[in-house]
Amino acid sequence: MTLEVVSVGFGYGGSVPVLKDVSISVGDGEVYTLLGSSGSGKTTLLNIIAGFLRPDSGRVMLDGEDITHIRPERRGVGMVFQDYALFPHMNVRNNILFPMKARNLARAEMDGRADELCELVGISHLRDRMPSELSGGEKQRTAIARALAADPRVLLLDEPLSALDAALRIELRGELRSLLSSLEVPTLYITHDQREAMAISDRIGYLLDGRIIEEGTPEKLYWRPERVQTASFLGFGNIFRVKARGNGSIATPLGPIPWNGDMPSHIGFRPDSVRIGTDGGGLKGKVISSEYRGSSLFLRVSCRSVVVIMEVDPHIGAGKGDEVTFSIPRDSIVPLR
Amino acid sequence: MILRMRKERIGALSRGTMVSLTVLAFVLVMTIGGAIYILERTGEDEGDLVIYAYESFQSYGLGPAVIPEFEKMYGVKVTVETPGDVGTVLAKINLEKGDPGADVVIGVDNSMLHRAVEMDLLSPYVPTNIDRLDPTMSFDPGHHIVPFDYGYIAIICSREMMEERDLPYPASVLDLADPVYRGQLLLLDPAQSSTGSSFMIWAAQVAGDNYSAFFDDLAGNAEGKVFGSWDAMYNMWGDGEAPIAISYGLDTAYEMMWYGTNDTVTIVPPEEGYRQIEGAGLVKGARHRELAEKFLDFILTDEFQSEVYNNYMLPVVPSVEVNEYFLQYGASADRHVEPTVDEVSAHYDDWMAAWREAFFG
Amino acid sequence: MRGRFDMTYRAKGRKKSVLVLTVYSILFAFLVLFCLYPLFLIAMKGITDGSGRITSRYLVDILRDGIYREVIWFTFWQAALSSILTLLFAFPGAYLLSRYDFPGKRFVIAASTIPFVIPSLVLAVGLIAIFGSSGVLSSILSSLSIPAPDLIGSRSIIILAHVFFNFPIALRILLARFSGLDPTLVHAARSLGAGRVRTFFTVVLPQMRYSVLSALSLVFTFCFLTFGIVLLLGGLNHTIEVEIRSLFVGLSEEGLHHAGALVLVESVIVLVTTYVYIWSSSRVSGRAEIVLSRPGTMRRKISPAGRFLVGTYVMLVLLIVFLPLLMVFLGSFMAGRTLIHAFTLDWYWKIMTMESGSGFSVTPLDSIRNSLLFGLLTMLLCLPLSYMTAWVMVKRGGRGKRFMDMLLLFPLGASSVALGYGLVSAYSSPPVSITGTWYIIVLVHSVIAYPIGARAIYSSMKSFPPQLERAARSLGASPVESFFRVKLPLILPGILVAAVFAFAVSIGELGATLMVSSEEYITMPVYLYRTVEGAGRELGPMYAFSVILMSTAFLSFLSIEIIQKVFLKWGVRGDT
Repeated sequence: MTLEVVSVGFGYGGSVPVLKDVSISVGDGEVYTLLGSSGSGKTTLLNIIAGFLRPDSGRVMLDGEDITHIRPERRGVGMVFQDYALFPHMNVRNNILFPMKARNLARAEMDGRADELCELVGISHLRDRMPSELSGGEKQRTAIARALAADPRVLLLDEPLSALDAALRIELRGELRSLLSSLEVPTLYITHDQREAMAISDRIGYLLDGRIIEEGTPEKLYWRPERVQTASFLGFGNIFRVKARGNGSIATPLGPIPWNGDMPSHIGFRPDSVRIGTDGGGLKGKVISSEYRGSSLFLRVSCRSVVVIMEVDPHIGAGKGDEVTFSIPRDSIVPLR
Repeated sequence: MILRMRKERIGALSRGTMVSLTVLAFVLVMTIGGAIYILERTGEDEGDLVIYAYESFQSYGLGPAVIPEFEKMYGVKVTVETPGDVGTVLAKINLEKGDPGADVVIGVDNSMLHRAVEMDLLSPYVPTNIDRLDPTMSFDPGHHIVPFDYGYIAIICSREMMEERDLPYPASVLDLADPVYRGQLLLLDPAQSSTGSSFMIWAAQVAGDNYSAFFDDLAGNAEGKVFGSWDAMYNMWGDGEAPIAISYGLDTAYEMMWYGTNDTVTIVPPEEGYRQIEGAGLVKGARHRELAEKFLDFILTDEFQSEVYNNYMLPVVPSVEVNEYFLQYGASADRHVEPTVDEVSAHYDDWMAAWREAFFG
Repeated sequence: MRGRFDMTYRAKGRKKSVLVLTVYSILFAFLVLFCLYPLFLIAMKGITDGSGRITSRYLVDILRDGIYREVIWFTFWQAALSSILTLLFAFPGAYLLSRYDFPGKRFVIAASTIPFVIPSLVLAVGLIAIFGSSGVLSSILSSLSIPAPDLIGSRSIIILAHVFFNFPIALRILLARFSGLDPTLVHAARSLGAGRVRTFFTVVLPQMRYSVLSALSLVFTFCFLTFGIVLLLGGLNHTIEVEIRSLFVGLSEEGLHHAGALVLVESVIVLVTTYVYIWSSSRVSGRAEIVLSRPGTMRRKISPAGRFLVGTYVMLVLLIVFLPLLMVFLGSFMAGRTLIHAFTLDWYWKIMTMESGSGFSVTPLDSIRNSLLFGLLTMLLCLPLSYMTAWVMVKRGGRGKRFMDMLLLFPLGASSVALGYGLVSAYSSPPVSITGTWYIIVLVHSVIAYPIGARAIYSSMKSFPPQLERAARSLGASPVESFFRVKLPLILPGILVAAVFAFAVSIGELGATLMVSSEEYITMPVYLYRTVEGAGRELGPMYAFSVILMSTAFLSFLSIEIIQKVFLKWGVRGDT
């Protein structure tokens, strides 16, 4: 089974379209994350896939079938909402039974399947609770079980962790990952949190201003993004415009580096790839601020005409005003455009 | 594996919803149907002749006494509706002009008839037995109504209170303006009460051209004790709110008849009697005109006239025997000052304006 | 995020707006046919002469003529005075109730909904029982040989009745706002050195201004349009509504024109006050909902002085709400006219066994049956109307929304007497003759009741999270299924409250019913009115009948309470 979004464009009637020519393809059992800040159009895309909105152009295909004009309830799209949208007047069990009742399954079959799903997400002991009596995590599990109870052909999750507090979020995201990967349906996951995206996904698409500007595995996007915007969103603290110098090197604000291949417009490197205090060809700079973050120390270092951000070993103990020497390993420098 | 694909008919109604909706629809249809059925049946209850009357026609007992008689006589069913006082009754007839609900209206008196005539609510009809009617009662040359009873408008005084307060008994309507009666009077608002409007006409007739000044003095004496309905006023009078009130010539007789005592002095000045003459009329466009005419004839028969005492009123056919209490204790006058319909019509608005100016201005 | 909760299907946008348009058309057709056109006919009388030419004569008349001017002026100042007194009385109470917790608080707040469903006529009878010439007060005073003032028929009793009747409404509006106030603002002001009094005047009071205005304008509107209370208690004091009625039944052509002019003047004033009400209540920020007790507010232990204040106030509230009803209740079981008499069931027996002919041509039982049926049918007709109104109010935004909302809620401020008379005069001759039918009563009750229901449904519809409907759809439920299984159960509190209000309005309506009802379709309030009018010296049947009317209404009140209890645990509630 595959979910394909083909060249979808959408606008709410205003002059600025919300989605422009978006295409994605999610394979069987794959978890695909749409990553983007709020306003990037990711929820709109989700609503189009679920059938709550009709695109102005393009198609939504499920298993090769065009479902663009099929009503939401006939699409077989399971959706987990941001605030879970549990029916407050039904207990957990009845929430889970809801999609099965809607399809008139036999009573015994419904009951068995509900138990099965409760088991799967670990809420068997909560079956008779009302949603108002559940914790955030329990609500989330119920919402997932309910979405699965509809036998969805594709699963959509709209920021399912954002309503939880930080600690719980990290704990659940591992669980969610193993649950999702055990399912054999395409899963589309939406979040604005890059860490969550990294932890959960097989593949990530970065959505900006209604366009998917880059797509790839978490590793690729983390270490070797190709676009300036992606790199910046994914925590590349240091992105500099470069100029070609000819003779196989480029000019960066930190000095020339040799370069083969296509000329990038920018280069970037992650703060944690900066080595400090090492010998040999080191750059010198002055610390303008330092921020202690437990396992690491964040330094803003003024060097030549720019500021370099680095995440270093806290034992270095550099403070404001100190002179530091640092270097950037050549292979951590990523070309960007 | 937990995910199974299935091709069911999805998007239709679930069994549970189906059942609940069916039950709901059934209950709704039954409820609405039942309610409408009951209401419709109530409405069908209409008789062969529909009469609108003021409330006391039924509550005092005249209606219940004569209607079955008429029904038996012609083998028909009569519906009597009592929407309220005469004003309300006429207002209702006026509203229904295009599609009259009533055939006969009962209770239009000589203070109200001009309105009914002006609004063109009634068809003239001369009963076949008109010769039975006391000729002094025919105040309406146009025959819009057939009088069925009459009673004197009177000044009633509580003997006990008059003595206690050492008040002289008024000998004329005009005396009520005497400062000695300041705060001793209960009056009626002619805009709301037909008794009140009879009294106003009476007072205006007696006062002549000076009615305006007379009303002013009356208003001064009433000190705001003016009531919207005769019932309300009579209750207050009974409670001793003031010794003097406006009522009917048979009040003492009524007291004697029911309680055997009388504290009430009923005054009808002999030279200035005003009779409230009540009649029944044929509603214009009546659906059952033939039977309505028979009913109007019936009004002047002995069968009807001998029952009008129920209304605490007197028969309009001289030959009909009058209750002995009424004969003995009823107050009456030798000379009458009732104006004709046309006279009332010509002056009513002026009197009313002067009255309102005097009492509320 | 734009469009986040926009349930509209983009491609179906047109289809959806066609639906909105259809609903608008149905509502406006209803409104025009059964409210605006009849009222227009009446109002036209006020500016045309007998031959149909436009004239300002009657308007000038009523503004110049001493009596009409007096009526208008009296209506105005009694409404102003009543609403100000109501507010003065309700304000401290709302403040106290929002600040202090005490046992029975829930009961007091629940009790304050009673006047919403108890017909004003019953209150009037209750006041007769207290202040009438044979009432409790005069019995007590005369036993102390103090001359009892006869308040019935005076202007003070009208104002008293209005305060009695409306203060719970004001209390609820203010209480909702008080409990929604952000306590941190008060803490902030206090920490910045403002004293308690200063904080109250500079921080609390300004935040209350729209609520105060909305309560004032609502109570003013109610008192301005008052009918039953003045008719029964006011004696010769006429408000515009009562004057209009007496002109309508006064049978003079001239009078009808004057009535039309009065309706015009009345409508203009009410339009302004209704607008102020809608405007100011839309400006009330925060959740307008009565919160019984919230953690973390500035609630403190009740000081002895506070306990005294709260105690006194609670007693007053209960006294005001219950005393008139209690007196009616007691009166219905007493053999005599005055305070303490032997217990008797005679009055009830009399009502139950009264046959037609002895009094009216209909029996009390007829009127009870009719009222119940009318209440039921009104409820069933009102529900779709209220629902559609609430629905378009939620759906439609943008320009002209407030105007459209106001138009849809127009009957809230319409003269019921004129509405009744207008309906009868508009549809009294063939081909459309609905006078004397049962459905004219259902129609007029529905016109009066549906805006109230619409407001109740509107507030519960607004708090319905739209993504629940989407969730249902994505889980395979059809639109119909998801409406019945998800949306309906969750907005049910609002719908049931609307149903109860529709029923209560129908059960208690007098002004319009008096104009449209025919004998066989007499209702309880009309019957009660006639009973009071002709009560004579025997008040027992009047009390007994009031108790029956009251109990019917009280049952609807109970159902509101039960509904709220049931739904509270789902975290949803209707707004009463």
